[in-house]
Amino acid sequence: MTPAPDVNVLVVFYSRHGKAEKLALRAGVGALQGRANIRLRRLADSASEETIAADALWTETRLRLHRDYVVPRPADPVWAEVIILVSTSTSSREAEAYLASLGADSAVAGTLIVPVLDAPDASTATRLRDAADAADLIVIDGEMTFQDIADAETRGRAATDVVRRHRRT
Amino acid sequence: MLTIRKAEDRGHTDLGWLSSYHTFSFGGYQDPAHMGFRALRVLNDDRVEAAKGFGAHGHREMEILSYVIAGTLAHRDSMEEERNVAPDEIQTMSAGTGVIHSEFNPSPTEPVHFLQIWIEPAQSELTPSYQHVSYPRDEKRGRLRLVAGPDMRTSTSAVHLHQDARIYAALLGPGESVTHAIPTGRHAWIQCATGGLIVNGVPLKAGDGLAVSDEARLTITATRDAELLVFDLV
Repeated sequence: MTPAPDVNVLVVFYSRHGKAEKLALRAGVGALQGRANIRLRRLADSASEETIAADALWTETRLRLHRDYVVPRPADPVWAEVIILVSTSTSSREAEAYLASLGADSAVAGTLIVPVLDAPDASTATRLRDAADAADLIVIDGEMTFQDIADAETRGRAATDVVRRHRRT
Repeated sequence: MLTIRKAEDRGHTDLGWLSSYHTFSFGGYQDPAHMGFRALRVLNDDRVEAAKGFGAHGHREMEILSYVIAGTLAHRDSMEEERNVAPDEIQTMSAGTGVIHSEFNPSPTEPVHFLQIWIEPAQSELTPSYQHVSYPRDEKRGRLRLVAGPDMRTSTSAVHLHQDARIYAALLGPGESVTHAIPTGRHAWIQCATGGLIVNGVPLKAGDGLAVSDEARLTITATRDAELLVFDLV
């Protein structure tokens, strides 16, 4: 019999056209493979309605994303032992704002975080790391960018192992 | 032995957009006396309002079936399967090592009424898979039509279960009967989805279930137009 899930993983993502969502789903599946309970949340757009309306694919994708995901609740990061934060490199404002909000919640300090980007972007990666540090989160370092979504699955699975190791130390 | 599970005794979740009756323990409803029957672990009788549904969530190690009684259910999952399920169709998702999915009522006006069924698989760590089958409605009129069972991986008439279990569906008119033999050592669960039935002398109304053990044969007669599922379980 398979052991019951024993790690709580919160997957938070910001996606406009669906690529970061796919990464988040694969990371979530990896966490399930690692016997985790998971929650999936999508960060709200910070762009204006006019900007979104000018992009047909964004508009269409957003309708579905609103249907399939809710925004993070305050209780989610408190519940989580590790947060996998997936951001599009096109805009990291949403992810940075989320990290700043976590920094305001002392109950979340010391939580593990795995930042993931949907495309190579060193400056964005640095900003996300800095924002996570400022929020008193423990960044699980490593390659943040995944061109192959299978890597995201591996990272999600590995995140559960990190939590178990972290408990022992 | 026949043990009735009355509709009114089931657990109930009411979220406004969702009314879900739980034959067995599920979510916030937990009753040690009703944790399932054989490999049948969950049987939820769900009604979802128009344009509402279940957001993305994960599952592991369960065979998850959706049987729609009225309306349409839109399914989307991490295997990139995206399908609508309607009456006279059945969908199964073998969660195996892990899968994420969402379910939604795509209608802007009509509710969807469906049964969500979880069956414990015989093996663990299976690769996740998805299957969807549709069939002519007449194939379940007046007879038990197999909709799920083992050895159905490549079938186009029924979905595959990683368990020694079979699910039959039927539509019966008033006074119409079907019979089903139960081999020694096997068990059955009859779920009256709509209408009314008499099963081996036991009357069932919509939402009632009946656990059957140590019986060689089922005789199911409709007292009014009825839709039912029979689970043949080891």
